[in-house]
Amino acid sequence: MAQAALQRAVSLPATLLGVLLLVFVLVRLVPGGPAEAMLGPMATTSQIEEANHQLGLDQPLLVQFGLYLQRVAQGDFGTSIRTGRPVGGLFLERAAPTVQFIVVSMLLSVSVAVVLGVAAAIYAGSWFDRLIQTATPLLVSMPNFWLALLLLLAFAVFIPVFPLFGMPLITQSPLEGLRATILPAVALGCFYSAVLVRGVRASMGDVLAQPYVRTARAFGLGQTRIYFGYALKDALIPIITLVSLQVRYSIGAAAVIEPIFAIPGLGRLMVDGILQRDYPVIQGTLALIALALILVNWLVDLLYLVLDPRTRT
Amino acid sequence: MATLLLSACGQAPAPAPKPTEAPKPAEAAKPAAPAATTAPAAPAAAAKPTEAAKPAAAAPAAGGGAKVLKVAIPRDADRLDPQRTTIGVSVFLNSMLYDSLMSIDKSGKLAPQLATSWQPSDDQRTWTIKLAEGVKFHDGSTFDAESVVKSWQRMLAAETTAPLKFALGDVQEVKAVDKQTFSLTTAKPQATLPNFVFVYPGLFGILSAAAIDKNGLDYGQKPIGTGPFKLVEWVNGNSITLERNPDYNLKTAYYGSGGPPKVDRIVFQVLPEAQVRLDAFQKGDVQVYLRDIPGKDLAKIQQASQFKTLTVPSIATFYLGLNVEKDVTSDPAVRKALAYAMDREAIVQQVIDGQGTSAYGYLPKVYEGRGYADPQLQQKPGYTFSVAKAKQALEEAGWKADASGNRSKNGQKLTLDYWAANILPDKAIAEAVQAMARDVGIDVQLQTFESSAFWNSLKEGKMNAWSGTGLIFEPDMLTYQFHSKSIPGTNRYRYNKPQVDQMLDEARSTVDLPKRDAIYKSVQEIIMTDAPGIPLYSQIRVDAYAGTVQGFNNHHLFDEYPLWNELTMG
Repeated sequence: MAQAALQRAVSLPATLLGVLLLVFVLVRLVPGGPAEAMLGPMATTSQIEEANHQLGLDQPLLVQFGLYLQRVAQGDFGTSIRTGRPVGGLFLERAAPTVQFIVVSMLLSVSVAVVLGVAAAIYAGSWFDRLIQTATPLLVSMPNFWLALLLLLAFAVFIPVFPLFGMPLITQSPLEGLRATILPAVALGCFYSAVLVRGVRASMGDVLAQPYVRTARAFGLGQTRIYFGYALKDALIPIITLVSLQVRYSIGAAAVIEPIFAIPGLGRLMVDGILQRDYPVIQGTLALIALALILVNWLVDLLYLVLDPRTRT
Repeated sequence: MATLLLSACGQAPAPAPKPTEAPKPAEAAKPAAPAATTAPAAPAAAAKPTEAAKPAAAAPAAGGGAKVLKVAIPRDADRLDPQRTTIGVSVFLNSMLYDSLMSIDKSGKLAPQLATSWQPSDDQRTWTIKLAEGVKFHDGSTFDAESVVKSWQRMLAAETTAPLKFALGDVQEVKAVDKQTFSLTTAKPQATLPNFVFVYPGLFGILSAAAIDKNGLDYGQKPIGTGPFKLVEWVNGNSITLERNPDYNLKTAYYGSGGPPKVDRIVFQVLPEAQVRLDAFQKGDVQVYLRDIPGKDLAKIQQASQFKTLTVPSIATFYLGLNVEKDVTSDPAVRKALAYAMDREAIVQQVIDGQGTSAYGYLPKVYEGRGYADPQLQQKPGYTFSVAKAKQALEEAGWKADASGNRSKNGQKLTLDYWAANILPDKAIAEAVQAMARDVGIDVQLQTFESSAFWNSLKEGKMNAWSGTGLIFEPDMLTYQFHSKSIPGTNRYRYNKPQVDQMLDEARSTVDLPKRDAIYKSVQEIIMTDAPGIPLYSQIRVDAYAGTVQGFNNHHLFDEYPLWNELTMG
């Protein structure tokens, strides 16, 4: 397993290269280019040609890709065609708010899910369990943008305990930042929280049915110790996979949540980049997100190593 | 960004706090008591928790009594560089940061702004323009002939890729005659100079020569103009904060009473979601809700007595375009029938919630008296809504209906390939057009495109019809729509008529305004009779503002420009 983790580290550059190439080709397959998007519907054919020349988009694709790789290798992801800002700086500036509300959302949803899921498993078949079983499909099927608007209406307009827009970074103003992060985090995390509750309940149920739990009971160990000392740890192993999937889901869903809460985050940067055919922004953002996801997967593998002794052999 | 903030604070008067002291909401609430009641350029007070609730808003902390206006805008600006953008948000922000050489007064005449006097040569190819003395850019550099020369040179340079470069015409020479005089010579007289380039600050504002040297193509990140406001903070994707330029002293036709603005700061807050813009406006988190107000929300705002609205005719005209080269739409009778079949009033009332006026010509209502000829075009060619006349035109041209109402001629079915962008209101209008065409027996196959790919998809002319919004900044824009030299390209109708080409060329080099307007009147009549395109409505732009804001007015000619200088807050 340790070796596997190491192998992953070695294959990282190859994976990144693949991502860069794929995104590079895909953005160019989409009809309409940055010059057309930048100059607008009134642009003449010669103006578009001139802009393409200035942007270096009239060179052969291979040359363009080669030049791009060269710059990326030096840590330069180019500059946004639309705004003229360096993509690297833009990414960092925009990643901070997104990371903030995704992390808060995950902390919230995982802790709520573990508590509810474990309770439902322990009291399997009770009214509480049945309530969970009924409520989770409802939460899963609730569109997050709708939930976001509903939350704003309820808790920023009618009962104004949270701000309607504006999310300072927690690192700059912890209390205000946290307060403003709650609503977007709930809107984002609700779906996955419901998925996780079901996951935890099923996983915990399985573990509680294991012979060793029965044995532990026979030895007279206390319930609390059995549930939280032994069973929960084992039950969490499959949950970690779900949580790593949640990271991926959250980055995608952030693009929907961010415009509603006016969060200047990565999701909006990406969507705006695509709408404006801002090639360097799309390429750079996706490559850096891919890099982040690869790292997350890597961390998850390491976590397995820690939690599950069977993977160490 | 840090340097921007520092320089902003450096110019502020005595009570300027350290930029590192982030305002805590509780502290911000207490007044810091500067002596002057007008508080010149005092940094903004963070009055509400939401003020502090912005990333990096930690900059200039509480001054007292500063008048801060908050404005909701739907999207961020791209570059605050007049030469390198045509996006609405950027254009109106540019009009606050930069000045044009002249302006147009309410009687339609050129009026001084950065220029004090001007003289076209006898052949009208050379403009010699005297410039105001003692005007400073935001960076402290002096405005002079060199700034103007460098600005135009930059606009013409290939690497600038200026979208509206063509408006300058075929420039032969641009030079500084002396420190306060410059001259511009074009190959032919160029009517777009006095009517557009010299008077439109948001697109042709004058840049600082020193800042051009320093910032080059990145000028739009650190905009330096002579305008009544200067940029103090721009949080990408989130907000743009402008501060009054206390030295602003131009008395112009734009800004009425002249002098520096009356509010201290204006924060433009990007709120992409319409519902949140409405909530923020109704709650009072923002005092101005600028443009793109959905009809149902506008109705709510107009019912509330604490809010006011300002309605401005826009330069945007929504039209149905027809490809005159492609099969069925090459038949003038089909185009004429479509023009009769369009119930423009129904589209305005039912599809766009009344935020427009029926249009019969391409020049928007804002050009009333300047080649704008809607009432005349309603008489002649007079394609006003009539199902009977539409059917008659088709019958006479041999398009016969079968039992199910579908028309055909010599075995060819009367079917249009109709393309539209997959956004609102475009898609809804396209569906209305489809239904109206069906009422007269024209079958319309509607295909929708992702909005950024839409205009590009029209280039090859594979569609019969399309619809979208045309921005007519200036009547000369008709050249890009209807001149044969714009095929392929912006003449998507593929309309090719030598007489029209000639008239458009003539109008472009006719500097005399009444003569020029007369040409556009005739050109419009010819084009509208041939009906390569059918204008449906001229947009109306509505801004909403809180009752506490006074003096919220718009420039009489350019819909982009609320007169921010004149605003006061109660």
